Amino acid sequence: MRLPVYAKIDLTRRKAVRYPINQEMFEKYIGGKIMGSRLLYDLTSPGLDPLSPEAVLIINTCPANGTGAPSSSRFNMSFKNVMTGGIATSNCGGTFGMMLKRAGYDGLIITGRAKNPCYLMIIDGEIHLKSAKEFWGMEAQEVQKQFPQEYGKLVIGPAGEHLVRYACAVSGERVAGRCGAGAVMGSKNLKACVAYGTKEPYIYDREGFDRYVEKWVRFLQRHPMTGASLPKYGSAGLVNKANASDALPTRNFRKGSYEKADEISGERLADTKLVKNSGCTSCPVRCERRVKVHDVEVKGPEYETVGLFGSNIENADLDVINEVNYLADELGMDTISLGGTIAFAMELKEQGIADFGVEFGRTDNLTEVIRKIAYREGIYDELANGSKWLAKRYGQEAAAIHAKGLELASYEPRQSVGMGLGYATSNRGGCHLNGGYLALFESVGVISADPLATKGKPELTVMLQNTMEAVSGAGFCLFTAYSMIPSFLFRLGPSHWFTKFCGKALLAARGVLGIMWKLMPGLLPFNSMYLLPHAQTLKLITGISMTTGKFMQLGERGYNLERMYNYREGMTAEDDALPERLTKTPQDGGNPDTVVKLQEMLPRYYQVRGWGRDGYPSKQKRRQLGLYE
Amino acid sequence: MAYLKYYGELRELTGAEQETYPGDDIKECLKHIKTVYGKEAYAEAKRSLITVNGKGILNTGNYRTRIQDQDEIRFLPLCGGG
Repeated sequence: MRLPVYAKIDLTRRKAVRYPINQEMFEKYIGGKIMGSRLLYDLTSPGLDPLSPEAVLIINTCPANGTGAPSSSRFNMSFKNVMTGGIATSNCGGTFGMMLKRAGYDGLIITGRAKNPCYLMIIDGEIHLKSAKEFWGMEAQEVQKQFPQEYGKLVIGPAGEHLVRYACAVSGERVAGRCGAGAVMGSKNLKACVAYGTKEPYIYDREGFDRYVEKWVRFLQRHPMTGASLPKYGSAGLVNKANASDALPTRNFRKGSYEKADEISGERLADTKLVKNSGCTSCPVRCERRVKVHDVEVKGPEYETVGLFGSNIENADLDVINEVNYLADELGMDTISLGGTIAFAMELKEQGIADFGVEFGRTDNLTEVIRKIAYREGIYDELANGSKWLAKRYGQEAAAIHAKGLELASYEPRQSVGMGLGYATSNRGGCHLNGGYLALFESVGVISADPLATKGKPELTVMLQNTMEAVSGAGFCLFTAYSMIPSFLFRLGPSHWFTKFCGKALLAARGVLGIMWKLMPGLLPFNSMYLLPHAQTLKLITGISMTTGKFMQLGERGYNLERMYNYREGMTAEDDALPERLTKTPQDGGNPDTVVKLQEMLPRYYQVRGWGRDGYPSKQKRRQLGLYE
Repeated sequence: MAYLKYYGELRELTGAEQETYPGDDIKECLKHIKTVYGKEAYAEAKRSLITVNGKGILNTGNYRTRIQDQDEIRFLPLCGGG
């Protein structure tokens, strides 16, 4: 078995040392966001300013990175969340992680603050800290072009340099988007991390791995979602489905459908703007869109960006969405938080409270506004702080659409209430992924469980949160988990009686789902291509004894540890909340049930999680997971 | 007349982006597709996400959803995201 090798780098003292990860820690936390949370918990004290020199930034990989396993290029950044003050994990499909491993390190633990703008260069095991004076001020692609193409790069744009709270970090054209990763790098005067090496990734059982991966790739290519729909339409294909289910945020989450949704749909994008599809390294799904902005081929928008810069600001122009997407990436800002903040600013103007020059339906000045936010110019300095900050300053908290301080993604939860529960309980804030993405079974997937039902949603939310935590923590793209949904259901379609029955069955299974976590890992002592092939793949890569049950418990462990970190930072059950627009104002005026009834779902959620009424993991749960803090 | 709009594979199977049809409900529209374009197009249409004026039919009567003059019925491919 090969144990991970991290480097601990102090930018103040300009020193780097090896940081050993022992076998127990490796088997318990594996890598990625789960190991990142462990290290963050161990190496930091509560109460730190996320942008202070004492704050710790972890950039790490997972055993699967660089092995060629499907969709396994994803690496992680863990840090104290700039937006919420709790845990932050941010995931990216760029090549930096793979190259870091080839350079000889599984992760970097970065502390301190460089005296002047700098970049880290990690080449074949050697770590150098170099001046980034000439790169400071460059946008994301420009700074990456300063290094050889074959190098893995992770950079920030001007937004990170100016400490925009939702600044992101960019690797290639992929982004570690959420929570302010770019601001943390900027606060350390760290413009870039660059890596290159020739070390081959470690694979315990190479022959077994090659055979299994070949089968898994075929499986993904045969699946209707990963083999047909995602390559053809990308995630933007969700627009019409979300709209049909009243889950497409419109006019700052005032409504769930947009009359011009078709004009910004994935189908319209495919028909009129798509140059081709593409994807992350080693990904057979190829969901990325390639579009043209000012005649240059660039990465196209994901569903989140389409929703938040489309319907949510009442813009029906795909060219505007493409341009904004590109600009946000170049300047280095999270399109979700940026879009959500701008929508809130539009509402403030509409209410006559504050005028930032932005209005619903107006797009002619949008790129100018976005640039000013990135550089914190004039009044736009305030928009750089996010909607929670703005609401504190100007009021209208009910309309600031965030959870714990992080803006919500592009799923309106009032007719997808399990998604609402997920947003509220997500450890990193209003995230649809860390929140469990129950929209998949309520409003945007092939199966539709009653979107307004509260019974059964806590159990499903926990299951999805833990499973996605494991998949993400192991370094795989979450889209690889789509294959858990049987192919034949897509061949039947959402209107078929059997598919509808599956929706009812999911809710009816809440009793079983409610106790499954008490029985892990023994409940699922096997591996299966049809369930989570990630478990078997990890076993073949690492040599660790891994079953589906252990894999899912790994995710549960990570989720609980994130929670414990948040509580240590002073968060409580009160922070598992949503803005009043979503909990008190029915989306459908004629149906009072079209709100997120959090108080009906939270107690059961805590119970299924094995947490107390205060929302903190019980001693029994912590013992079960080996979390002895 | 209602408007039937086809997307994705259904567009290829029907050779059309849209057409008009005077049917009373979704079931009749599906029968029309089967008669004119064949079984494969019918199967593809049935498993699509079917919307009437932008709203999914699951909560409006499924295949029995009534349609009226000028209604827009879309047969959309199922998509993924996250």
